[in-house]
Amino acid sequence: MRNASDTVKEPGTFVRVATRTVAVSVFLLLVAGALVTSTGSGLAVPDWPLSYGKLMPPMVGGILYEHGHRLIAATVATMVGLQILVLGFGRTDRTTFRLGLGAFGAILAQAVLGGMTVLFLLPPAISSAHAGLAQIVFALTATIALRTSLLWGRFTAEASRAAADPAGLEKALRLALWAAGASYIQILLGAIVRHTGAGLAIPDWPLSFGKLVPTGPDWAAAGVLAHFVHRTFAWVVVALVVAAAISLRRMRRASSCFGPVSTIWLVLAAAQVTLGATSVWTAKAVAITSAHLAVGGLLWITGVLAAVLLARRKALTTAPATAGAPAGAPAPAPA
Amino acid sequence: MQTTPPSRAGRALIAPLAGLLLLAACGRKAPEAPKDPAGPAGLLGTASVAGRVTFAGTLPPNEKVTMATDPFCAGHNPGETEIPACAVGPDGALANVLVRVTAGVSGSYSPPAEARQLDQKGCAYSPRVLALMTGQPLDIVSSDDTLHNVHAAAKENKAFNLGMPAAGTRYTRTFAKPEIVPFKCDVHPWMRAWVAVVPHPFFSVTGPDGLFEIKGLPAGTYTIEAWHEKLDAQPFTVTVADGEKSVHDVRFTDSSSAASSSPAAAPTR
Repeated sequence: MRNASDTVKEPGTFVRVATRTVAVSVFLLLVAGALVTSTGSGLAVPDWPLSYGKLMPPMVGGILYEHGHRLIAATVATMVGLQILVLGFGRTDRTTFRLGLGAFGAILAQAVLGGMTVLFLLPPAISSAHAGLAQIVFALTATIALRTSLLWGRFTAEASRAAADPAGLEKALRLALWAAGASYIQILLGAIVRHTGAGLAIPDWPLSFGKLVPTGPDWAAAGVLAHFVHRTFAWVVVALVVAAAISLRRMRRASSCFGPVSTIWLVLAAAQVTLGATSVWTAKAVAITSAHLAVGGLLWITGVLAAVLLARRKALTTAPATAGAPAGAPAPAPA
Repeated sequence: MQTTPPSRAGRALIAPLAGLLLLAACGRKAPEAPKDPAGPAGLLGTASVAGRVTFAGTLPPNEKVTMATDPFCAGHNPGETEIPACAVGPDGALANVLVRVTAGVSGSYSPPAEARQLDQKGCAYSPRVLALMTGQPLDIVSSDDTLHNVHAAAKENKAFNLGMPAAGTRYTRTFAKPEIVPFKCDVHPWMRAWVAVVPHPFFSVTGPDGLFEIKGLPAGTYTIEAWHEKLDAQPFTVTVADGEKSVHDVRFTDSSSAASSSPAAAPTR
């Protein structure tokens, strides 16, 4: 559909709005999926791809959440597919186009995993993979939205005006990658906790059974290990996010967006810890556990986008002559 | 009747065929008596164990739900509905307790042909606790004119999730291995039931009066367990002779580790 000789131009308003809409829709799909598990509705519809043999069953009880999730998923998958056309006809750069193809492939795989998790009665491995792949789709679509945004163009233009310390950029990028990676691992750990029913395996917080670390007989109960690893690894994520956010803030002279992103990152980390604790205190209130999943996704995406911006800035710093090129110009543009 | 002897060519053909048949017959093992994989048939006796299950203390609170998410359920259960996980009568009688022999039974028992029935009625399972034998059919039916799903979260047996889209829907399932299978409806998360699969016929489930009776026991010593979905199981041991009826009451308490079971009366014949 596209080749290297295609002309890359600044994405138009339609492309920008479309990609942003897709990314936001994927986030809403994540929230809908969180509601399915938080309300225990994952098997409220026993068949797939139809629902009780129909396209549209009565939306009662848990069917509202499960079939609603399926309807939203079908709509969002179609949007992600159409996004490929938008990116192609909008003459965006090759990397962005490939990200679009990847997002579509991932959301199709995600649909298959969703069907499998219903047909195999929510096996934790498949359900956790479904949760993990959802965040990959979110990262891909959010990156596409970033690369086609006005911010991306401004960011590129800024690079030609403001100098940046290469060592500082390198350090900030490394920390951002670590923080994003840790956030993703924490998402997978959270998915395991969620899908093995270990959310209340340790009933108190911040202590565990009244102690810093559970002792002998505490470990015998189902789910304690998964739950404890999730809540302990949370502090590793927090430490990495704080370090990465501080490092990013130190680079704020290199780009006007680094400061705000750093602040958002720290606020999300604080909110996520609070929601995790509140999930335990409220015995997994539906709204709280769903928000915990949603903010976890935002925390991960902030790390991904920070890393993408830093990688871009680093590439522009090492290739200043091309800094003023259009968004994602083929030859010098980093992925 | 005169018969024509086989020709020379016929004899030449018959001889090797006969040899092959002889070889095949010699190579085949002598038929063995079929083995019963479950062992020898179990015996039925004339002893029984009966009693009453009660609860003393502060009950674990029952969940209260509103069923507004489904107009059919809300119509049958207006306002706030208490889910009777702990159903205690005025004199402490505890319903929905499975009382079953867990040790002391030998031999295998054939399941009865008649099916047990688990109904979905008024957006609740009826009965909430049901016991049957391994291999005995379970009829799962719906009397409700709304959608249910029946999700049997079995661990030892094959788990299943069936759609019950309308009143009159019926499925029949059997379970090959003993376990207590949790049943739930994911459409209506307050709907819960337990189906106990037992490898012998020595079990009973208490009704609202808390009474149980296990009949047909051969003389012997048995470990019996009283199981409740919310409370710790209460095991006890009885020894019965032929024709004897041992009476044994079981008491659950709010501190279930302190709960006790004790002979209520001398054995009667």
